Amino acid sequence: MMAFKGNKAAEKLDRLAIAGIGTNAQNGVAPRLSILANLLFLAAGIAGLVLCAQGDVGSGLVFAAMFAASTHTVIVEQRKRGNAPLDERERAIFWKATAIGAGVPCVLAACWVMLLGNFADQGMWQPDRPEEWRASGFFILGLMSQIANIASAWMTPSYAADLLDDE
Amino acid sequence: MMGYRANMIANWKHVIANAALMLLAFAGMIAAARGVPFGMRIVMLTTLCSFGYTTFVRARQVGHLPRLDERELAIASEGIGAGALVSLGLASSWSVMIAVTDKGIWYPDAADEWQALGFFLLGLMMQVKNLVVAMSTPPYAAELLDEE
Repeated sequence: MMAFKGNKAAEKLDRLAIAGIGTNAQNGVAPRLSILANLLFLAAGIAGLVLCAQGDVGSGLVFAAMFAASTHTVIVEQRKRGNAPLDERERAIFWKATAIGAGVPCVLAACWVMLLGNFADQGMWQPDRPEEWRASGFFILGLMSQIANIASAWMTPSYAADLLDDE
Repeated sequence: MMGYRANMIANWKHVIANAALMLLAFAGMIAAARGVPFGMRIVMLTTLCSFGYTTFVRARQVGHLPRLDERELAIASEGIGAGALVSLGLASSWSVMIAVTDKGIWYPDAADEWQALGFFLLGLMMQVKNLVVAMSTPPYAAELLDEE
């Protein structure tokens, strides 16, 4: 009887996947996978806003990016702990991520509208049509979810994700 | 017991001061939206007061600006998170409402109105943050800060 030598190609692909996105990729709570996914949503949101500012398309893309980031938040939270309440460490990470995620877009939006006071006449972009107002509203909401997800994943240590997988 | 009551009052002083700043900022924003020339200045003043309040109250409590310990950091994160959520939620829901309704909802147009809105968003974030921090700080912690 021959000894099982394993599948070299599958082992290499496994190692490559773990090196790239870390462990727990299969259940969606891997921090690196979460960061990559939210960077993708962020890029989609920015592209959507730029397209919307240039023409009629784009507001749908901004909404899709916002919706995807929010759904990602819900799914990751559900996979992590189900219906259990947040413990002290998770609560601290949640509020820190929310402070970064909501604080950054809030300051950016405030700086933008303050600059519009001086530079709107010189061609600085501002929402004008209903599609642009809608896209701007969804964009800042999406930006909040995306940055909060990235911050939360960044602050979740890999050993915590491993522990969740073991449970 | 007297110390406990005194510090409850001290916490409520912070709450009342920030609620007053918030009301003043709302009044200034409404004035700015109606084209009153000093509306933007009221909003700007309340925002600067809120930032100054955060800095100077903290410095007065402890005597200098220290690094926050773990509990204080958790309370500050909760405050900033709540403040930014309120401010951002208001801005985004207003923005979407402008798009979906055609009932002449106000939106900024003149330079003063844009600047007032920017200061208002920043100020609201700080005011809600100060309110949450004041309400989350337990009286015994305020008492310890007074004794230091």
